[in-house]
Parts: sequence; C-alpha cells; structure tokens
Amino acid sequence: MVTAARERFASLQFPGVRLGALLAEPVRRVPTGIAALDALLGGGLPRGHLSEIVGGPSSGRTALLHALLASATRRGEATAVVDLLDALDPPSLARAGADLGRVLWVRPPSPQTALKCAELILGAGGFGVVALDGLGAPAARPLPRPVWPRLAQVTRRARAVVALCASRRMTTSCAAVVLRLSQRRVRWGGQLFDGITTTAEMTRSRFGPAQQAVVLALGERLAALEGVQIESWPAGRSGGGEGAVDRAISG
Amino acid sequence: MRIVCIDVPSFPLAAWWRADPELRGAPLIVTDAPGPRARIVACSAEAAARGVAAGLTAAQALTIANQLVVRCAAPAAEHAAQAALCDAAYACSPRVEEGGPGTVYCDADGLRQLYASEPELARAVAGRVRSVGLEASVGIAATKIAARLAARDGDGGAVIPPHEDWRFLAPLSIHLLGPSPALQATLARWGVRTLGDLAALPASAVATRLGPEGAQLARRARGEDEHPLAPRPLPLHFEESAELDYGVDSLEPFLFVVRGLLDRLVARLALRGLICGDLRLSLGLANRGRDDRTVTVAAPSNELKPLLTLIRLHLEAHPPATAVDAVRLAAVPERLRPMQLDLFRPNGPAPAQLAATLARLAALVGAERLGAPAVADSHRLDAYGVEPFDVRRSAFGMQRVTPNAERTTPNGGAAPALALRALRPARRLEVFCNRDQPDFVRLVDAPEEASPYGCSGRVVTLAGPWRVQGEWWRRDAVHRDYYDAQLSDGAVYRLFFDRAQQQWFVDGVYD
Repeated sequence: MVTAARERFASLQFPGVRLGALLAEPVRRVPTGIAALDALLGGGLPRGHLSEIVGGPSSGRTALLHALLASATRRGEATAVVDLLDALDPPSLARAGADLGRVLWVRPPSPQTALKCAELILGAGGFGVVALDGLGAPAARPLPRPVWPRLAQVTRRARAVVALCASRRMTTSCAAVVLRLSQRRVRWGGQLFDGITTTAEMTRSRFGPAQQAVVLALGERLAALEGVQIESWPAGRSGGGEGAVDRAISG
Repeated sequence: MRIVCIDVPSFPLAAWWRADPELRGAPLIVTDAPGPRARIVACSAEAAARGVAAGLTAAQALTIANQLVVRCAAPAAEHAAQAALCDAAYACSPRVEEGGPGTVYCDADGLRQLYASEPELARAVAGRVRSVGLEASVGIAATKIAARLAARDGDGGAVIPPHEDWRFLAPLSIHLLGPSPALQATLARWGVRTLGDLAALPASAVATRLGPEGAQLARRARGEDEHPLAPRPLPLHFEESAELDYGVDSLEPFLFVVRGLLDRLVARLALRGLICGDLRLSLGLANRGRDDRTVTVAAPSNELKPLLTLIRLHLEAHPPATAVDAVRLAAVPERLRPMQLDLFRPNGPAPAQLAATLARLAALVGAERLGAPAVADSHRLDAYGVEPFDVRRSAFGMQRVTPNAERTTPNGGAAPALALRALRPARRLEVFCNRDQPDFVRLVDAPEEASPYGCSGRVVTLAGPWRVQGEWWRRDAVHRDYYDAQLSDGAVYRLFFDRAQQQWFVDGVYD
C-alpha cells in the first residue's frame, strides 16, 4: 500500500518538489529468553523503546520480567529494577538464572521518585534493561501523562529496553510494544502447585502486526524445592493443624 | 652528574597565588604574622612598584600605599605548594631532594633518552610546575649550588653547559650566596664583589682570616657542594586546604572553594601517575569544632566533575552542623589499574558515571534501598540480602558465559521459572476454616493499604503445609507452616501460619 502510494505520488508532477527517502533505523531486539515469546515479538523487546508488560496477579508478568533480566545478565549486560512496591524476590530472580551482581535494585518511595530514578539510571548509560515495576498499583496516585513521552525520549537516547510491569496500561501511545498476560489456568501436579499457564498477547506493536498471542507454561514449583524428598502426601485438600503438619513434606 | 634545580622565587607569595589565583596582579604583601606590626616577608611586583619592600611592617607598608592586599603567611598553603613542587619534580625524575621552601633538586642523569636537550628538559620541568599552579625558574648544572645560582640568574633560569660552571659563576655577585652582613662588609672592604674574586683567593688563607663561614662561602663560590644530591622518597600524601575569611553556610559557595582544592589535588595526582580514590574532607566549623568525613569514591578517577558531584551529594545528605570557616581535603591515591575489556560482552556503564549515579540514587531513595539483590544464607523463605552494586564487576565482568547459556536456565530450560512477588512486610490474614481447613481468607487491615493484590477470597485449592523451623537462637525464631493457596480471584498466594504468634500471614503472590 505504501509502495503504491509512493508510485502514485511520484507519477504526479510537482516542479521543484523531490520525493525523499525514509531512512529507517533497524530495530535492535533484546531477547526475553523465552523462545516462543521471542518468536512472537520478532526477536525480543525493542532496544531504545518503552515496552509494557500488563497483567494481574498470577498472570506471569513477573516471571517474564525475571526471564528478561536473566537473559540480559547472562549476556553480560548491566540491568536495573526500579521496584516501587519492594516486591522483588531475589531467590526467584536467581532461580530464573539471573546474575544478581549485574542487577541494580532500587526501591523508591513514590512513583515520581521511581521515574526520576529510572531517568538517572538511563542517563548513566550502559544499562541494557531497566525495569519499572509496580507503577500501576491500584492505590498509587496516577502519574501525569507528560511523563511518558519524556521517559520515551530518555530511553531512546540510552538505547536500552525499558520494561514497565504493571497491572494496567500506563503509557498511552508511548510504548512501542504492549504485552498483555492473562492467566489461563493454574497447574497442580498431584497436590503440589506446579505452575501457571498463561496467554501472552501482543496488543500493540509499533514494528509489526499486533494482536497475536502465544500460550506459555510458566514455572515448575517442584524445581524450586531441590533436595526435598516427598515421602507421603495426604489425599485431598490439606489444612492447618498439628496432624496435617506431621504429614507434610520434610526437607 | 647533572642536577636540575627548581626554584620558586618569593615562595610565600607563590603559595598564596596558588591557593587563591584571584590575587595574581593585585598589590599583595605577605607578612610573617597577623597584625599591623608583622614584618613583610614577600611582596608582589605591583606592591614593590608602590614603594613597598620586604622587611617593613604591615602598618608602614599601608602608610606608603593604602590599597595593598595583606595576607599572613599560610603554613598549610606553603606545605601544599612545596608538596606540589616535589610532585612536579617527580614527574620528570625519580631522584628528588627537597632543598628548603620553594627549592627542589632532581637528578638529570639518564633523562637524555626522554628529552632531546637540557634546555628542553628545563622547559618541560617549568611546564609541569606551571601545571600545579606555581611559577618556577629552572637551572641545570653539574652541582647543586651552581644549578641553584643558574636558576636564580636572569628570567626563568639558565642551563650551564658541562665543564663551563666556572665561566658562568665567576661574574655573579657575591650577594647571591647570601653571606652574613659582617662577612659581606669584610669582603666589600677587600674589594671582593664577585664569585670569581672570592674563588681566586687561596682557600687556606680565606679559612684563616674569615673562619669556617668564610671557607664555606669560598667553596660555594667555586661551585662545590657541601653535600651531594641525597634523593629520598617522599610519602604519597595529597592534601590541600583553605582558610575562609568568614563562615560559609550555603552549599554553592562552599563547593566553589572545594572545586579549587580538588582541581589542585587532581593536577598533583596526575603528575604522579595516580588517580583519586576516597576523599577525606575535614571541615573547620565556626563553633571551633571539626567535622571529619570520608566521601567514598566507588570508581577512582581524576575527572573533576564526578568527584565534585560525589562531594556535593555527600554534603547534601549530611550537611555540617554550622557554618564552615576552614576546609582540608585529602585524596587517597590509587594506582591506575588497566582493565582488559571483553570482546564479546557489551560495555557496561562507565565507572565514574555510574558512581555519580549511584550517589544520586542513594541521596534520592536512601543508601539502604539501593544495591544488588542477593540470596541470603538462611532457611527463611522470605530472607534476602542487598549488596553494594559492584561497579567493576558490572562494567567489565570476568564471569564466563557458556556457549549455550543463552537458552540454559537452572530449571532445565523447559519452562521459565515461576516468580514470586514478595509482600514486605507480610500482611496479617484472618482465616475462616471449614472442617479444620482454611476456607476463606481476608486481610486484617484495610485492603487498599494492606496489599496491592487483593489477597481476599474463598480458597479454591490449597497445598501444604511445609514446615520451616529454625534459627532458634534468635529472638524472632522461625516456626511457620507454609501453604500455596489459590483464591477465588484466580491468584496463587503463599500463606503461612506463624506458630509462635498463632497468626496467619500472606507474604507473596506467585506471578
């Protein structure tokens, strides 16, 4: 369609007017470390742009963020997490395969401070991935809209991936990619919590077709319990109390 | 042997010019003590042009010319200037000897590989002295006394070619050796006015008639040193100080002063091939107290701007109690360590830039809320640690990457690991049981303030308990039963029953 429009425009005679050429800069991608998601995204999240990861509790957005951080740190990149809710669980991040020494963890007290921290980190340069987590919390005061174009501009200069992880969309049209995660089901292996199956839908993409989705199986709860021997497990739901505890898994 | 003498004329004056460059061009006089009766020890050319000379009192000088700038001799400034002079000498030669205030000797042997000629060496030395804020004249000769006289001869010093010392020294005035007034009067009566006249006299006859002082003067007139060059290593001590005319209680004017000190420190470090590590700031307060502090420099550097930013952030975070009327700044010198960059890894943040950014972030959120996350060595499920974000490791990591590390995860690579979003601190829960099993949970506090995730609803599926018990030696020993619970809102939470408190809590949501 664009080609046809260019040909149509070129066929018109405008004396003194020359048809210019758009110099498209190739988009560099940062893989998330999840093959199916990278295929959906066309290689990963775009460098130099804002990306949003939207989802409710137990939708898998944190697992996705951890996978992105792990992938970046394994490549030797420095990363940063601006964690407004103080919700980062270092053991989870380590289990995802991240080199924790390459993760700068900042816990600001307010959304405004969180944005300022993100701008400072991006201004320092050299950070491959900067994650902003918890900005869209229900109790948090909404941020003014002009902050997002400003953050997008700083991100473009820093050539980093800025991933906003929130329960709702925040950046209006400033995000180049929006991934919406929704839980399909919770997997229980026998009587153990095994993981979450979630749908990752790309609802917005500035670089290609959107409205595509992929189903992801996140996590193996059992894998986190290395060295634990399951001796017996009671049938049915188990509750509190001394008797239930005696039948529990012993580590 | 060839010796270089670096001589700074009117050293007390030069020390003041170095400490306060705005005094250059002013009719400045430096006195030996405060007060109107203090004697002038040095005066600038502008002051001399108004009839002021060394030896007058400050009151007499102000009577002659009332627009003079009077400063008392500052031992700290002179000490720093002398150290800077030595640093400049060390930048040219490894064998340096201090020759008194404003004078330094260094060995010029073996420097021909570095400098094409001795005049070029003299120019290089003068340039390095200029880089630390001093103006020196440089003399090069075969002996220390000849080199010193060459430095004091003419404008900017002179180079005496080998074996021509005598030809250079003979016509010089005897006053240049600084004889005592009595000896000077005796020599004047004899008609001895130049070094050549004195050196021509028989040494034994001079010693008989003028005593030891006369014999020593005759040896110096012949260009003979009393002691050979005795180089000794100087301690690496980099300190600059400033006395303020009045107490400064706002940050910007104070930083203006600190900037000058830091600039001089960095110039000295650069001359010695060193870089600036931690900074020690000692503030003299208006209430006669002292405030000593250390500004940690995570990434040693000689760049002025990031170092000044670190001092600014430190002072903003910990302002002094009262106004500051004196400041002393010392730098811990560090060797410049070459780093091997990795061809296959992306460049990390520049260390100096990152250090300034970390300091800014610490000022913004608090140092305890900033760092690299760490897994704590504990059996507590909610335990975690925070370590300092290591600049060098972040920038130029040495950890190797296996070729297929891109797709390898600790859980086998089959599925991304499940993550937990922590709730800190754990929120108290009210649990309603049905047949001794949790059936409905809700937060004890108001939901909006207690948790951003809800955490209330009917229990759909429950797994557990896992008992975690330990750290009995601590007051807050762990004795908990953990559960994974899917509530009716679809989310899966990590609950625990604290057996010590007999209370239910939620401390995370699987996400």
